[in-house]
Amino acid sequence: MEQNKTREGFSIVGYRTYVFIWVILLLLLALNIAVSQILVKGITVLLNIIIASCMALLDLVFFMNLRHEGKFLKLVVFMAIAVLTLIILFTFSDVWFRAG
Amino acid sequence: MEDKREERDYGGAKYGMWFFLLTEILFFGGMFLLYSVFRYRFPDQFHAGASEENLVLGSINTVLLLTSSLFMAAAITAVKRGNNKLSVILQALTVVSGVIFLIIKGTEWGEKISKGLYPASPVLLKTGKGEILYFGLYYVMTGLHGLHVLAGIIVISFMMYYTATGKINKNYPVRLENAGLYWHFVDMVWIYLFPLFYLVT
Repeated sequence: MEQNKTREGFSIVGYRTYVFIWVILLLLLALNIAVSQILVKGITVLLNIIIASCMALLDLVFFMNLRHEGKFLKLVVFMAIAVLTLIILFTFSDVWFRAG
Repeated sequence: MEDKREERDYGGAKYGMWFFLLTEILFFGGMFLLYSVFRYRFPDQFHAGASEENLVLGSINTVLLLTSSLFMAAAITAVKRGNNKLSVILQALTVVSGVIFLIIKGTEWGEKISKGLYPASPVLLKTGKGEILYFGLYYVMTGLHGLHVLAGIIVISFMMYYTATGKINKNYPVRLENAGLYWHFVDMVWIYLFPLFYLVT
């Protein structure tokens, strides 16, 4: 991946890297639509969310340039996503086992 | 002698934006949670509601936002390489993509409203609880996302002015980088909204 730094220390990501990521994102979008049309329901929702998460990860790491941020920020972003995931899991642990 | 150098905290400016975005994750996260719980409770009615969505328009809108993210990322690279003119053009393309996105979204809302599918409409009140919840969530989530797109368009328009006048330049591009972070985040929210509303049929 082409990448360099300016004299001021800002990281510069090359145009080609962004175009490459954009092409992958479009392919994943096509895959997501295809999965929803072809496969049986039940599995599709899970697959749709997994593919969407891959797309979001590419967005976060490359377009938002998280890979060039410091360890602290990476940890904070990870914690926020982990907290949200835990909130969703705990809520579902209630929804799944609640009668009626 | 007075030192006229301006103190700029590049790292602090970036952290500020990231922390704001984390609050946005929890803001949209709450709505995604509501959607998940109600979809679990009313799977068939959510499927019926989603069958009203226009997959072609939704897909076009997704491609538009992904492409606008490419333009925005490239606009930041252009500024960092000292090419402000190219950056302004790329930012303008980002804004145009955002505007087309909103026009398409508005068309979709118009189609549904003309069919009587809007919150508390007589048509919707005759259907089940699940469909009422589905369309309620659809309007709230896509509406709030649309407002974020609009805010992004306004912010990037200011950034175009700052880039054209040289206030944003290769020595201090952080304003544009932060506007980019916001735009990519809005794109990321749509990446999840698209399968939840358009692909669950």
